[in-house]
Parts: sequence; C-alpha cells; structure tokens
Amino acid sequence: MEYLTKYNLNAEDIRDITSSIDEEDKLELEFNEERVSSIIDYLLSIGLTNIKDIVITKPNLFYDDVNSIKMRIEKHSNTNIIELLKEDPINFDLIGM
Amino acid sequence: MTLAEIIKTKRDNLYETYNNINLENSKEKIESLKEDINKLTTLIEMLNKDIKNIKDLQYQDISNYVSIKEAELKSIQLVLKAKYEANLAVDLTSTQLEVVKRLIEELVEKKDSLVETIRIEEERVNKTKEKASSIEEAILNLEYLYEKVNDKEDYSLLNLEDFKTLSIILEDKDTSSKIKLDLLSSVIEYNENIKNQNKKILVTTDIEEVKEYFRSFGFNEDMLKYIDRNKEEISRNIDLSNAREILTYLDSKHILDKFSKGALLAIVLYSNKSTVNKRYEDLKERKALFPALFEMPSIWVNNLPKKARVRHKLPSRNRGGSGNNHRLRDYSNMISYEEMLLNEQYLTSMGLNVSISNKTNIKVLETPREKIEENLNAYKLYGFFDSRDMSTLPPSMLSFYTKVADRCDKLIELGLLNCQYSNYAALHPTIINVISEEVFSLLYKLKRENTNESYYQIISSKTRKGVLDSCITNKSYNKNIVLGYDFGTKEKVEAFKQENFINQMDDKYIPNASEYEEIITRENPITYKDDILTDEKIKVLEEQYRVDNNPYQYKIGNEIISRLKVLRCYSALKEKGITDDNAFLYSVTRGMYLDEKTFNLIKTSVKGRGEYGWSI
Repeated sequence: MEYLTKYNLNAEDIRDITSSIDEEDKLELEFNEERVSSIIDYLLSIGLTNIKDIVITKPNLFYDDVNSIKMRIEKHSNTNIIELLKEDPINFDLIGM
Repeated sequence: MTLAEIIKTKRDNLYETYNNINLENSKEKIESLKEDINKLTTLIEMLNKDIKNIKDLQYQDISNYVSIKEAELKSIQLVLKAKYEANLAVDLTSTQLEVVKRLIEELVEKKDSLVETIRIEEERVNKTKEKASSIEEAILNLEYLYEKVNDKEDYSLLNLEDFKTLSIILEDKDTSSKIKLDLLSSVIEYNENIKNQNKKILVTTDIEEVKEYFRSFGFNEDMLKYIDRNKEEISRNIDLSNAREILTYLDSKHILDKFSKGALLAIVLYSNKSTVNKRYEDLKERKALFPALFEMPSIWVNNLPKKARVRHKLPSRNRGGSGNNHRLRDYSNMISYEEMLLNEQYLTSMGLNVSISNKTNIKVLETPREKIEENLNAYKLYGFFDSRDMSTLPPSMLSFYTKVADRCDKLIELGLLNCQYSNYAALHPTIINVISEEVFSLLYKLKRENTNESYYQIISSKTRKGVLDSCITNKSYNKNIVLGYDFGTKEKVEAFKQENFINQMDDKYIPNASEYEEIITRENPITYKDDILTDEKIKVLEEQYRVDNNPYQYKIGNEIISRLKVLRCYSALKEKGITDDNAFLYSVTRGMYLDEKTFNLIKTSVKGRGEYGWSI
C-alpha cells in the first residue's frame, strides 16, 4: 500500500489504515493500485483531501469503479454534500454510498 | 498408510459420526416441554391473580400436573360459581382452601421440575450441537488438508494450521498407535519431499525469469513492479509452463490486457488454463464479460464451495492475513462467481443499487449471504427502513461484521437512534461499524452527566448542525484524545472504565450474568417472540416505563433503555426456561455502561412493581 504515500500519507497513516480495515480491504487496496489511485484522484479533484479518513471509514468505495462513484456523487451536485464529506466521510451514507 | 490415506480415513469416520447425530427427537421433546411450561405459567399467573379464576378451569388441563381429584375440583368450582356468579353467601371451606393451596403449589413444583428437565435436555442438545459443530469443523479442515496434500501444484510445507488439523487424528483415542506413528513419519516424509521440490522450483523460478516471461507478453514496468512486490510468493508458487499456458490462452482471446495486474498475477499463480478457459466460455455465452470481472481473480480460480464455507466461518477481520507469503492466494479466494451472482439477484430484488456489471457496491456482493441476511433482519427490527427507503441507504451496511443489533441498542440508549432529539444512526448507519467501545462508554457517561441540550451540544460538530463531532465517528481522527478524554493506551481506557462504571456482569451485581451472556452471545437473537409481551415482568416495563409513541425506548429516570434489547434478550432466555429476576435485570442492563447509582436505580425500579412482585 506504499503507493498511498504519493497522496501525502506517511508511514504512520498507512499503519493506521492497515490496523483499521479488514484483511479483504487491505488486499483490495494492495492489488488494485490503478483503480484505487483513479478513485483517489477523482476524490481530490472534487476537493476531498481527507483521503486517510475516507479509506478507513469507507473502504467499500475502493472496490467500485471510479465512474460508478463519480456518477453517484454527481447526482447530488446541487447539494452541500462535498462540504459534508470534507468534514466527515461518514456523510457518504447520506447519498447511499 | 500414506498421509493422504490417513487423512481420508479419519475424514470418512467423522462423516459417519456426523451423519448419525440426530437432534430431532430432543428438539421435539423440548418443544413439547415448553408448551407445558407455557400452559403452567398461564395457569399459575391466572390463579395467583385471583382465586376465583379456578371456577373456569378444565380438569383435563391440569390433570397431568396435579394430584387433585376431578370431584374435588368440581365441588370447589360449584362453590365459587355460586359465590361469584349467583351472588350466594357461600364460601370455600378450610379444607377446600387447603386443596386450592396444594393445587397451586403442585403447579409451581411441576413447572420448576419441567424447567429443570428442559435445562438438562437443552444442555444435552447444546453439547451435541457443539460436538456436531466441532466435527463439522474437523471434517472441513481435514478436507482442506486432504486437498492440499493431493494437490501436485501446492508446494507449501505443512504449517502450524495443518498440524492443528492433524492433531485431530493424534488426539483421537480410537486411532491406533501404529497409524499415529505412520502419520508422524509420513508428515516428515511429506515435508522433506516438498522441501526438495521447492529447492528445484526456486532454482527454476528465478524472479528475473518470471519478469522476462511477462515482458515477452508485452507487459511493462508497471506489471514488473507488482511482481517485485510479491516476489517471494511468486517465486515459491509459480509454475512457468502453467503461467505460459494461461497467458498464451488469454492473449489468443485478446483479453490479456483487460485484466488488472494483481488479478492476473493471482490467476497465473493459482489457476490453470482449463479453469480459465471454462470460465471465459461460460461468461461469453452469458454475454457477461463485464470489465469488473477482469479485476476479480476469484472468478477465474476454481473456488470450491467447501473452501468458501470454511472461509465464511471465519470473522472478516481474521480472514486471510496469512502473512505476506500468501497474499495473492488469499486475494484469489475472496468469493466464487456463483455466490456473487446469487447475492446480486437477492440484493437487487430488494431495490438496492448493486451491480457486478457496473462495479457498484462490490464489497457487499462479496459478503457471505448469511451475514447479509442477519444484518438485514437487524436493520428491519430497529426501524432503519421506516425512516428511510431501503434503496437510499448505503448497501455496505449489510457487509458489517460487527453485531448490528447490539450496537443499535447502545445507539438507542445514547439518544442517537430512534430518539425524539436525534436519529443520527438511521441517517449514518456506518457509525455502527466505526464507533469504538471506548467512545460508547464515554457517551454513556456524558449523556448521564449532562442535560439533553448540553449532551448533544458536546457531541455535535461545532460548525455544522445535525452532524456529530468527527472524533466520534472517525477512527483515524485522533485516537488518543476524544472530546478531551485521553484514550491513548489500553491502560488509560481500562482506568477510565474502572473509574466511571461498574461491571454489572459481575456476580456481585447480577448473579449468573455471565451465564446469561454466554447464552445470548451463542443464540444471537435478532428478534423476539410476540408472547413475551404478555410476560408479567415485561408487562410492568411496558406499563410503567414505555415511552409514549416510541416502540424503541423504555425510560427509567433519565436513562433510556433499548426496549428491543430487553425483549430480544429476555425472550431468548425465557425460551431456555430462564425467567428469574436476575435474568430480567440482566436483559434490562445488558451492554450498558452504568455507575453504581444508576444501576441501583434501575434495579429498584424493576423490582417488585408487578401485582405479585418479585424480589431481586
């Protein structure tokens, strides 16, 4: 999961992530650098910089396709969802993610 | 005998024992005893309530339980009918009163004796169930090991887990010493063989050679990076001719570049051309060659259902985790395609937004069905689908491995679920999965020590209305300090709990609480029997403490108690014939973080409130 360091996560952050998520989640992140990176790139592009919190609270997102995630978030673009997600990734729950 | 033969013989013996286990007769007996107990409970309650109720008794309803003669009963009923229905100035004689007293005593004695019989019978059933479950586990482990030692492509040595499986044979009294000695020598021989083969393999599968193979199929540095990261597992397990066959086949079908790198490595290591070919043709015929499937190695590896069964028995956090040497193997064993398809059909039929083809909410599709159903039932009971349409909720909530119902109880008691001031958890069900036990304990303390207004103010975001402070919902926020409390080490968490709460599971507070907890943990009740609502003790709670227009709460003092928790737990214990006052108090206080004062308040509040009272 070292590739996450390119998103300004340090070794301690990565340790926190691996100690907080399931074994399955770890494998999914480990073996899908391209997909996970494309999702993180998208999240950053819409202003979500709390990547570590998102990975820990919502590891399920990283199993999906970036376009599917994009579509589901964009459906709510006329709301303040991005602001809420910046504050706490648990707010993904509000849009069924 | 060879190692494989010894394992097979033991497995077959266990199958025979397993098939001979029959619990049906005992279950029927228990059901019939329970019916008797229910009848007796109703009779005793009826007679305790008012002695005049004896006039409506049918002799055949009690003849099996008491020694009273039919004629004696009839004469008593005659007097009572004369007195209460015809208003005549007659009364029971002292002899008749004695008979009535004896009648009630005999009913109570009979009930106690049946409860004891049921307890013994259930203990027997539970022991047999435990035995069956341990045999089942042993069979599955032996099957797994049998497959391993027969798998010519498996070059891993017998490890600690395998030795644990073999101890089933070594500890078996019915296995002869000769076979046990054969087993030990065959283990040594097996590992020696594997070691020799591994030496050969390591020589022939130099990681540079593996990289060269992949380069020859047009893969660039990105793929080589993955190979480097997993070089130990790859060099130990790859069979280059098998790898070449798979890669050549995928190339010939023009799908080689569709696979994700991790998936392709797992497939090349743990599948073979025949399986890959079968899966490809099958998917093609179904017109289901979705891009998502090229990122799931388990689809392309022959995942036997029994392996899946063993896998699913383990809690998620313990699955896999076999160290860095088997990460690709674990990755290739996530779930079979067939299981995923069934999950997809099931979840979409409920209106949930899941899709293999669009790769949406894949995690829940990879969750074992029994866990999905258990979670779904819990959410239904706790009203999640009343306040929000199921299709708008995050499907990932169905993949939580934590005990959802128990956590919902806590959230109700903390005013965060189905509460007039907040229904935060219904809007944010992920809180069930992320909130830690120490934060739960802190919230109990804060809720108790503050007014409602201050409590919600303390735990809410300072910048946004209706949102909790992220230190409560976010595991990574700051593990050490939560709302000003230091939970930096296990010792600090322990000290905080000791300083602020009692342990009501201690016999000092609730005798036998640990025994009840064992039952509830084992039974894991997600619902309750409707007739629990007619139970005398429950009726008192319903009448005195049920919160108006809220089916989720009892309230004693300022303390919210999850109504569903009490009904679920007490119903499950009553099913076991346990109806004493301690079991009831346990059901009321289970899972709460209580101080001595609040515990005593709850204890005295539920004590002796019924017409006929009880003592704790």
